Amino acid sequence: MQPFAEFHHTEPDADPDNNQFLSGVLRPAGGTVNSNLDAALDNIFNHPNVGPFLSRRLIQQLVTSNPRPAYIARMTAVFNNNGQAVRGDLRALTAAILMDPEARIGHLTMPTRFGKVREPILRQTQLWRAFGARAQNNRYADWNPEGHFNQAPNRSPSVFNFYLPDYQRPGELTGLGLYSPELQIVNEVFVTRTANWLFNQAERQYLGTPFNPNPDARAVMMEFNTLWSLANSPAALIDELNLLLMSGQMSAHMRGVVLAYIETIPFAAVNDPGGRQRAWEAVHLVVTSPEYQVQK
Amino acid sequence: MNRRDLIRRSLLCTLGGASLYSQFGNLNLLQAAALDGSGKGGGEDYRALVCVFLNGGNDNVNTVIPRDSAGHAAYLNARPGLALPLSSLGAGTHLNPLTAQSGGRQYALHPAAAPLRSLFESGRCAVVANVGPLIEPVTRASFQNGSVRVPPQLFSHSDQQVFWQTSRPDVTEKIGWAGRMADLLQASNPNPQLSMSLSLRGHNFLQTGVNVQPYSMGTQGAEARSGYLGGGANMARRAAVDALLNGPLAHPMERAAAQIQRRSLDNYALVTSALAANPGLSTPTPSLPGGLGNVAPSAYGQLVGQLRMVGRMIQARQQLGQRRQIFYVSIGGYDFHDRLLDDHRDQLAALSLALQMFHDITVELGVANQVTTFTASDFGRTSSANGDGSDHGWDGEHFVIGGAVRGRDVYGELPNLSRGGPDDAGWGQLIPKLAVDQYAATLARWFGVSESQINDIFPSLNPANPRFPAASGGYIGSYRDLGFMG
Repeated sequence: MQPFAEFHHTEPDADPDNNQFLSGVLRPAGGTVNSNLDAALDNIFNHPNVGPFLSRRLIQQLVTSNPRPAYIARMTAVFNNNGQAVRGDLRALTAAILMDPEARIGHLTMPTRFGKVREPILRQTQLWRAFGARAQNNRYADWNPEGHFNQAPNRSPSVFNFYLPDYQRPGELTGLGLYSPELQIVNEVFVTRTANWLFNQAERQYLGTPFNPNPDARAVMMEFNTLWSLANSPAALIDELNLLLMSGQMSAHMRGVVLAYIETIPFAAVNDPGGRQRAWEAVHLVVTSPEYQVQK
Repeated sequence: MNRRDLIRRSLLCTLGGASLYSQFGNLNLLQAAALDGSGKGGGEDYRALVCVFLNGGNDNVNTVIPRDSAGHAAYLNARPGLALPLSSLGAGTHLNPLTAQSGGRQYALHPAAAPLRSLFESGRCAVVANVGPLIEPVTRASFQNGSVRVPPQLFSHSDQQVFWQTSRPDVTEKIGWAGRMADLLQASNPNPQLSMSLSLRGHNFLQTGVNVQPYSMGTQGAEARSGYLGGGANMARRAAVDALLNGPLAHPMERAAAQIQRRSLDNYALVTSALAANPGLSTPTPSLPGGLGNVAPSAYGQLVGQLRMVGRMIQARQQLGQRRQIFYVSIGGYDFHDRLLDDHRDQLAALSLALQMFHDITVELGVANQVTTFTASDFGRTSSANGDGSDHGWDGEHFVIGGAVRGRDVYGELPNLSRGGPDDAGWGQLIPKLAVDQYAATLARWFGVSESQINDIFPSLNPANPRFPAASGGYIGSYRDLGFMG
């Protein structure tokens, strides 16, 4: 943060509000514009609410939308003191968030509370990571993410980001008192636009797709080769996707539905030397499913 | 109302069809009244509200501008560098209200808002002055000595948007006042399948109800799901997609995600066929005047796209089975911390031309008296200048447009712009005298909500314990009804 001296009051002021920081702390006398800014930021940084505030938001982004208060309290302790008397060590805080017992076994101890809705754009990046996506020009370009994900990197519409941490989807989630921040940007328009985008990704954005045999240098293409070899056994194909995309959490119902559908597709056909269609159809069903949409 | 009460009431409603918000109200009677059109002046019983939300906080001080000499002098003094000179406020910008303002005060509209000014002069537009979020009346003294309750997180975009759209800062669940209206009236639509709350800009709190949630659509209508519609190979895939959505799903977030997708898929055919059954709009989209910057065409394109789809959904109301519709339209870019003079001019030019076009569409469709459009925004902006712009304020001036509006009048009194004056909370953040609740309740009553339901939707207006005083000053209605709807 950069101060601008010409817009800054340094002289004593008749209005006491101009000398008062958060919590009634007064501005030290005789400072410079830079020392004033440092003092103001230090005063905020040392406020006791910063630890729980930041911990909760990071947990919501990384692990679960509805952390238990005790989880937030444990992380607050790490923020306040990383073990070496340092306050605000974000590396230590992040590690603690990811290694906390609630993060590791919350899906077992609180199966209907633990987890978060995947941010739409992270559904794309997970797909890319899972299947070694790259473009010949080594860029990952998406010209209009707002058009299908209702969000785009570094382009939040306001300082309040894409959605509020306290958003509750009306209905059952509100009744249960659960927050579901990411659902604020999911609606009838974008649920379908995102599904359509992912359908297109599955069907046409892998090397060897008959729809796009000669992708240009900008096209980000995935590799489904591993899936093709598994697709002779639909069950093995689905197990692989369950592991890669759903941490092995696919329900028996979902597995049965996907399996039954994939088995209706012949392994090989015209334009399909083996497993192409089975692979992309299975990817499509998984990444547009409600079970996949919740990271648990 | 606490969360438990809300859940209980929603459960009661689901089970018994009793009125959600009123222990007195009877939804069935209300529906019957709506169905036979009684008390609606005959003809087709149809009404629509269109909210145009200006995201960021409109600079109200440069929108409705004092032009009498004392008022303009205070305005010039309040915001050096931002105030428009009197010479730029020619007769073509003057507002000539039917009711004279007190103290000889006179106003002009920003010169770029000429189409809005002509709607005003022709009696199709009213200005509601000095309105904003309030829990109870506030004065400069009571604000500064902290003796009065004020909206939580004043001057914060997201919090004040929530207040404007819900008017219930005391309720944790952000249930909007239009959502509460839709909860009461949805069942009276001949085909209740599609929500009467239709959003052209996705999520908003205004239309969030307990039971009825907004249906989001794009400027081209409903979204078609790829690989799902039609016959052939898609049929088996469609069955698989449906089976995954229908579950069983173990996690409540999965069920919520599935529900949104279901609503999208299930309403697609209804919306698409209803739109296709109509000829479309013949009202042209007028061209923006010259002399504007880059902001204007972008804002205009967004507004026109949304408002024309609103027009088409109104046109398709019979196929949709809707006698009540509430639309949410929104436009960003109103946070004028800098480049105010150019950007605000561009935005007002875009807004006013789009609103005029939309009014013409309602005339074309024969529903000008049955469609009421109103503006809302996070807050107004400071009367003071920060150099190149203005900062987050509190009160605002808003526009209500339509054939049912008692137009060509200013409801309420515009704030005193004097620095440190009676309406200045500090730094030119102007204190509202009319509450959002009053503005909203006036619209709700016109829309068909009963008095007892108004008490439930807006507890601050309950005559048993009203938090706002009886009418005084520049509005002609009561504390429950500001009078701008005929």
